Amino acid sequence: MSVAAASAPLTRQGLRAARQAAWVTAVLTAALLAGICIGETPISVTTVLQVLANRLWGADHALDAIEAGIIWSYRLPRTLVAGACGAGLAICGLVLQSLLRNALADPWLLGISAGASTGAVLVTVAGLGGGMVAMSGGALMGALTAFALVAGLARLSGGGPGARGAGQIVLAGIAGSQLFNALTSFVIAKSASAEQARGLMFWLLGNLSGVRWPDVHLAVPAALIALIVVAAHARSLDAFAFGAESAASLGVPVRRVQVVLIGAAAMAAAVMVSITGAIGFVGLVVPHAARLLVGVRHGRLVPASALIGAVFLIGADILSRVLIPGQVLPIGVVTALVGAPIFAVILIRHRGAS
Amino acid sequence: MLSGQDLTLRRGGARIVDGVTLAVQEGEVLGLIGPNGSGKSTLMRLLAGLLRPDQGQVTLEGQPLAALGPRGVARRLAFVAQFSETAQRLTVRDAVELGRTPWLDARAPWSPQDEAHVTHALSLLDMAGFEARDWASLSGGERQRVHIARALAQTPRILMLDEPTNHLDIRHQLQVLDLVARLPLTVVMALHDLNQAMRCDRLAVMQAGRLVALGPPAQVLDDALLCDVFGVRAQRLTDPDDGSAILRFQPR
Ligand SMILES: Nc1ncnc2c1ncn2[C@@H]1O[C@H](COP(=O)(O)OP(=O)(O)OP(=O)(O)O)[C@@H](O)[C@H]1O
Ligand SMILES: [Mg+2]
Repeated sequence: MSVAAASAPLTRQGLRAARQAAWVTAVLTAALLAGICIGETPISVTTVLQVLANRLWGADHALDAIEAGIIWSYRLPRTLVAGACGAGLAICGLVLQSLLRNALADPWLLGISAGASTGAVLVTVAGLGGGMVAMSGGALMGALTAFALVAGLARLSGGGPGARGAGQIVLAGIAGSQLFNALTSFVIAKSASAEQARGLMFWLLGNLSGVRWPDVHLAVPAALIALIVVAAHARSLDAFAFGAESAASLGVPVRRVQVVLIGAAAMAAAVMVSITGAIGFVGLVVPHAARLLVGVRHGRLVPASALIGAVFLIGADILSRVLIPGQVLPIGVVTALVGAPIFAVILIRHRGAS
Repeated sequence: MLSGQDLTLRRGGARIVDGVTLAVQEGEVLGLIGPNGSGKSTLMRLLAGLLRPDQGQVTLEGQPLAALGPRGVARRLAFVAQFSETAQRLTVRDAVELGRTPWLDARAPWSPQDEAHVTHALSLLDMAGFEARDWASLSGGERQRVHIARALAQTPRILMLDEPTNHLDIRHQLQVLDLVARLPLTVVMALHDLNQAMRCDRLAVMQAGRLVALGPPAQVLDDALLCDVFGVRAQRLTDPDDGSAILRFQPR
């Protein structure tokens, strides 16, 4: 009897996990396929699958070389990076919202993305190698500096949990973003040669054009590491619901968890920014959408945010390619068009709650 | 059981807790009383390991708190703060389940036993019908009871409550006080109602950061102390039912 009682919930848990994994795979595959098929030149799913089969399993389908090239070297890496970037930014936003207990926290709004841009640009210009890893390292330094500055300013100006604190940190974030965006413009204007500079608009708004396979090899592991680290701390994040002191009284090593999670979040944001520039509002909007769907417990919220973030950014990328025929919008334009109204709604609702 | 030696905490040049030495005995209910700002909440935070003293040391079951680590402390000691709010849309059950945090990790995932602790704690605080309610929809007293239920779900040996009867209606005040007296736990609680404090096993009296008296209520709450620490005169009445003393206060 006790054996049956113990194993019954176990198999039920196993079933639920299997069902969830199937769900996630299906949604992600559908989004990736859509991202590859839809575009200026529509490509059929069959062709895409045949190209993948040729490349991954050495199949031998006869295909148009140009189409195959578009799929393999252009659309697939672009879609994969969009997914990784969406997941990474969403996790970053979720961690900031939970640890700062602030519904408006987001790497872009808090100036972390701007700091990462500055760091990446500085590394490129200083000639420390334009390699992606060096740029990501510079972006990480920039992101952490920006976070320290913004958090410090918010604290000095009387920020903290609650409605007023939420306002303070967003104001501090504006100051930080402006400062770092100005620094980025300054550095680019002063010293970047045309080849070095990816252009100011790239760093300020975010853009997925020019993404290639090496970017995938950086973005996907970064998103996965952030996901795993944060998911492993799901219970600790739950314990922050009533604040850091309450978390400490529940046995959470508060300082260590804060350092590890802010570090993971900054790492994810920095890597993404160094590849795609600063894409706004993803980290703000996605965790709120995920809460509506799966509730506030981080055991489900973390994976749900990652999945929704991936799908959201792949969708935004598709939109950016088809919205104006013959022209590709920067993806940051699309996310801002969606994100800014949602930001307004959260702002109003937040006011109502306090 | 739990003891602090020579605890001192300075903030902004002042000593808000000043050389307090206090040993909590196993199984007792220790009441912490004193005027506003006398350092009760701060002393409780020091004892619970939530603040680090500038001087002195806290030991729990013979070990320094640092040696036990945050998890080790949280498995033995639960703390309910005076104020504690959230803007998240937690349900009552979610909030009480947080109490199981120190017992869970990758090797010990959520189990039916945890479920049972949570359900039991909710029923002890009369909150069984509220499990699905949103935190934001609760009244102040209901929130207080959920916090206490969360602390009990932690299955601690020591329960520390900062003004637990704050916000509670009279029936639930009595219920909470009866509950903590009845449970096989060591309890430290800050109180303002001196008649409620009379029901504790011992009282510790704080004044301007110092521990000025420690002992059984009848001994501690004498006329001189009431006048000196609280600035009141007291008349002692006797309950004709059970002969217990009731204090009635007047301004000095
Ligand atoms: N971080 C701080 N900086 C400066 N002063 C502080 C700080 N924290 C607490 N205090 C002061 O220390 C004193 C003791 O505070 P504490 O909260 O312990 O009092 P209390 O006895 O719990 O009061 P109450 O009955 O009002 O709850 C107060 O005067 C308070 O203003
Ligand atoms: Mg207090």
